[in-house]
Amino acid sequence: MSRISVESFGDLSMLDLFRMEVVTQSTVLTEGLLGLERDPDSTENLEEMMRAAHSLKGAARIVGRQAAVRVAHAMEDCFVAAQQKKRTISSALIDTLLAGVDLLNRVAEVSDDTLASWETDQNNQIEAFLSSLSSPAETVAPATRISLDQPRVISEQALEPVGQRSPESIPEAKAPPNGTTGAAGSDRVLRVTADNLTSLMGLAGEALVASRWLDGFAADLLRLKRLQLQLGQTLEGLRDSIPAGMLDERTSGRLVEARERAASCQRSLAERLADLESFDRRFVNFSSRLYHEVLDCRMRPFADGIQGFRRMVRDVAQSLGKTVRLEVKGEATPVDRDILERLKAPLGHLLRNAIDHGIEAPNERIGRGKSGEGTVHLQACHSAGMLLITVADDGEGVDLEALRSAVARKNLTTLDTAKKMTDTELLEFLFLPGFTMKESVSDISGRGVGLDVVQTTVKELGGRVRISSKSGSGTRFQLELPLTLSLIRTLLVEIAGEPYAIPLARVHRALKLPRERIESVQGRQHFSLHEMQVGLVAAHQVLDLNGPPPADSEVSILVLGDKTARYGLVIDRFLGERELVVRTLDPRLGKVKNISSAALMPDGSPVLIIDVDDLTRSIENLVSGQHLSRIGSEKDIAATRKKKRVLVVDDSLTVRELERKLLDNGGYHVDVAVDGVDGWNAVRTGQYDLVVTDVDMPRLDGIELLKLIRQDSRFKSLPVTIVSYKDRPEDRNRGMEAGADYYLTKASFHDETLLRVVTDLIGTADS
Amino acid sequence: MTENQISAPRLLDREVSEESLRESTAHVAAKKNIVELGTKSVVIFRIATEWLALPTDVVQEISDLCTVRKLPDHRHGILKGLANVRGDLLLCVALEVILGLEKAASGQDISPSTAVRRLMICRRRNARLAFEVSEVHGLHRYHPRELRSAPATLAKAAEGVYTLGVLAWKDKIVGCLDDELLFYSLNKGLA
Repeated sequence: MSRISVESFGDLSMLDLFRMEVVTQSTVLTEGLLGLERDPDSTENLEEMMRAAHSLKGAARIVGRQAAVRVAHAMEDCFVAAQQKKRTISSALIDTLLAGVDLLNRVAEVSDDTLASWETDQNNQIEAFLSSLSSPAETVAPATRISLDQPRVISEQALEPVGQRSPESIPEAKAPPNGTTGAAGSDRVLRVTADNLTSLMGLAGEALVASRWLDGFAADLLRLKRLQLQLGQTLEGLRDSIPAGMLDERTSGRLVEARERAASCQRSLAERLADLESFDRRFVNFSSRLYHEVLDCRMRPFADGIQGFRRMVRDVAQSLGKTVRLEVKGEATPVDRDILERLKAPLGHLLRNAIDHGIEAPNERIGRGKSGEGTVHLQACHSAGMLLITVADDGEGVDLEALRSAVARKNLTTLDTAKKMTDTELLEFLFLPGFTMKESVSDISGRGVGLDVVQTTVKELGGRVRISSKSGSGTRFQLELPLTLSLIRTLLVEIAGEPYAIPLARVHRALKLPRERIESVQGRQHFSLHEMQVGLVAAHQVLDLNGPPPADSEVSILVLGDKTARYGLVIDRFLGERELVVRTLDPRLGKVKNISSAALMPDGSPVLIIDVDDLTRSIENLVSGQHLSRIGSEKDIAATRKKKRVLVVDDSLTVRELERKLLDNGGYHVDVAVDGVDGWNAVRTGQYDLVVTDVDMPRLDGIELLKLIRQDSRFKSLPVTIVSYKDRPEDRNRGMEAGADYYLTKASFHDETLLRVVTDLIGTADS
Repeated sequence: MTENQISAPRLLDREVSEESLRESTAHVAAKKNIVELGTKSVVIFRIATEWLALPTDVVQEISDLCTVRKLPDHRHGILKGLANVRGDLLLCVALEVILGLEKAASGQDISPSTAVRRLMICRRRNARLAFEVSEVHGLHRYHPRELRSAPATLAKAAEGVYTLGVLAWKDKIVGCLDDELLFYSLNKGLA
């Protein structure tokens, strides 16, 4: 239910906190272990991992997870031994320790109820882990170390052939690649809930709006200053207009006094005004800085989003019998947290692709004169107001000839056309849904799903993907994304007297057209744009609003849609271009038709941001006359009103859904409630013909609910059926005494007793 | 002995004046103004011609009216739109619609002035909602025994009963709203 929202860490249970800690510390451990694998001499990694294991041990003890205590303890011992040079961390030991990290994660996932049985089940595995960690055979393993070191040395010399590398990057690649741990240490990180951040952003935005108000106030004061000046001039004129002889001493004195007072008012006002202006400048400056600082809080270092990747690259490569190294650059690049979250899946996919399709098997590589170890580069940087993320491998590259024939074979185009295509055009085919060049489907990739998903995600984020490939030296994907999702450039327009914002990136063209240039075919209005006929639709009609656009001599038109279908949306007028901070709509609303989100205008009033994809669909529905179906759906609603209504109250989702389906199949309109309190609220809305309730529920149990129902004069005769696991006679009596009409046990789902009882009590669904 | 040491006992030993004695006696003898336990606090407000009350703890803020931006989606009968309250975009609902006040009192608003109209912002279980009211009186305390049951015509109605009971306040009758049920229905109505 919507009520379950986490407001602060105070609401979290100890177990939740432990889980959060496991996530944080296992990242430290994984990064550290992988760092150690690349650079076995790095002692700072050991220190950090020892502390991580130690913290986990303590935390596990608090929540009583003995298995985790033992695993963490053994790992800590191992790191301590390594620190004292009593033990060498070999590649095999790293495998074991990584398995230990996995084990810790699994312990954290187990719920309290199943913990005991889980620990018994997993005991063997835990014992095996502990013994493999303490086994003396592991203490010295120089052989594995050498085999790991060798390709590392070779690979550094073999880096040059990769096409797109810039020369500066090579010394960086040689530096110990433990950037993540370094970055994490240099800047303290706090956990802040998303809600806190959102309200902070709201307040900062409001401060910015409030600061702009002063500007108008200062302008008002300027007017006052002018009026005072006029007053002074009037007084001056008054003295001059009095004939010299008429001016007695008293009047003259008064006049002088009045002029002095007016002058002092002017001075004082001028000073205040200057103060105000300086305050205004400071305040505006301060609030806009505050605002941008808060906006920056939405940014996280790129490193945060790629934590799992080193491990994944290692594991995937190992399972394919390849040696692959992941080189990450630009880990400190700030990326919008929402974008970072959404990019995890596409980046993971591109990396897996690079390892599986791009990087060749070690012997093949050596045969081609490359290093046996493949390298995948993952790089993030800001360029020209965009975020660029590059995934490049030094593998064989895409075989363009094979691609050409695959495209022709799949009848996507003719072989002749394929031959004329440029490399870039040809590579675009890789993004088609279901397209694959791999003959065999592996666990890793080759199913033909993926690249199209990458492209879809990137498009949804308002960016694009570019792919380039060089035969023999690698493939490179570049994702070009906006820096943040929370700020978008929009075109503000007025439709039916209300402002709306449209993402600028989605507007093909905005224009004003003289009325006479609008033509008509079969009653459908259109105009020509670059030798293409664009059909016109009225925006207020699409959005189902009252108030047609003003009948000016010029029509304001927004051209939307893609190459296949373009529509001209007729709006009232253009209000201008503006950068807006996107706010999500209240989740209680669900999806609002044609609207994606909202924002605040500079004057503080809300404005709605149009969901262009949804709007395009609405236009299509409108032009194809499907608004008729809407009338049909209203009939449907009327039909559900006539149906008998049943309320199902049960705290178990499974039972609730089972009962709902059963009764729904019987033709009843069914609503559900998750516990007694929820059920009582629903009953009191007075829409139900029958209530089916469980007995054991949190907050208010079924018997209490039944008592409440029977006590209320309105519901005395409302039929209530209890469905419970409890089937002892005394349970049954308790239910019947409280006023239940039937008492069923949960076994009754299988023989349709429930449906029969319901029909018995209130008749068939539409009687 | 310093002057203070001499004057202090003199001050304490002085004869108490008749007047001050009377005053103190009256003060001690006065009937104590006992604060009754178990009273409840409500915010009393008006929508059109009806005076209503909601528990004070659900009312988070009362603010001036602001622009309410309509949503172009007609399925929400009770939703008026979005309002900007201190930088938060809140859902603004029509309480008069869910309470069935619109038909009863259309065009009968007793004070056509907009100066007293306010936006009430309520919060229940982390969910916030705003609604427009014609006027807010302020806080009022009452004891549950003062609560009289709603008229049978309302209490017996099958649907849309959101009144717990009525209170006599000044020369008016105030309907105490059932916040639990009201917000349950409002939240349901938004979906």
